[in-house]
Amino acid sequence: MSTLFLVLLITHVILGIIGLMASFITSFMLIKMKATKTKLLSYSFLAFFSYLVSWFAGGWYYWKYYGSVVKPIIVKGEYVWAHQVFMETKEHVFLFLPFATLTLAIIILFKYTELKNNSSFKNYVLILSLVITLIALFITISGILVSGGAQ
Amino acid sequence: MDIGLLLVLVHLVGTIFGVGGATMIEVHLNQALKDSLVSKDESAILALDYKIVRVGLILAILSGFGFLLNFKLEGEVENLYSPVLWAKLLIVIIIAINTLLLQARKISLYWGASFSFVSWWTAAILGMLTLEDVTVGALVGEGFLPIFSSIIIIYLVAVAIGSVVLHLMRTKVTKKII
Repeated sequence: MSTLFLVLLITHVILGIIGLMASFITSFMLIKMKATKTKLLSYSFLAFFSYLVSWFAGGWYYWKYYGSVVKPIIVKGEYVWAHQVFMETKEHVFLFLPFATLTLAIIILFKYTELKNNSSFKNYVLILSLVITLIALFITISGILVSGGAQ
Repeated sequence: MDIGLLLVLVHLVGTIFGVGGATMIEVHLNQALKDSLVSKDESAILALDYKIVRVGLILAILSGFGFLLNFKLEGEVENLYSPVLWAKLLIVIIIAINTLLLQARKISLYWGASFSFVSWWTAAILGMLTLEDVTVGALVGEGFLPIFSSIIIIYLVAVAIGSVVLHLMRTKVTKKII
């Protein structure tokens, strides 16, 4: 693996995890809504930028390396489902993450007061944040399964 | 410094913070609840304990994924299908869900404290046993499912026992000692 792909893979994984943790912290803070607007915005935008960079790094790696080197190994091995089920799902579901996270960050930016005062509105936003966290968790788990499938 | 050694060190520090913090939460919570009233000072100490656990969790997760990345880059991808690794991952996910439920007050202190305390100790013990290459494979048979399900069953039994023991400590022992 060349240095470029190595850097892309490391960036994809580490920023993906940072994004997942930032989404989790955003959900955690939305539950009680005691955090300041700055704090909530910091974590939601951290999640957005992490997913975005992870998205491009992973996308480039997938396009230029995974398809020609890793995928054939998985498909020939005994863990074909790692690609056929998890990578196929991951590469489609992953597309939603940056957009959903940006939506959440924009809601926090413009509707912070409403989030504090209207509990039913806050609950809908919390559900969005939890869904983002769940998708990120699913993608993380899929990533481990796909990587392990190349035996 | 070797990247593997650095990851082990960070993972150890994270685990020490997590297990230590979770233990101190129980100790301080017992002390705080003995008069059924959590004072401002006690609340501040508990907030510090929670912070330590969170720092531990972040360090343990980041270094944990560092390990996974290292397995991939070193070509040891078969380690990514280790049942012990997946049991630890599941326990970390349970710790995270439990944190959200406790924050939303959707889980009682009886179960929440037990899940937190026992999960941290189980993850740490699993990590130590993996270092010494000790698994339940010799007892339940090799293969992913028998080992994974045995660890999870043992963990759930430990959570149930832990909830009773922690409750007894909170209601009986602490009031006599402290």
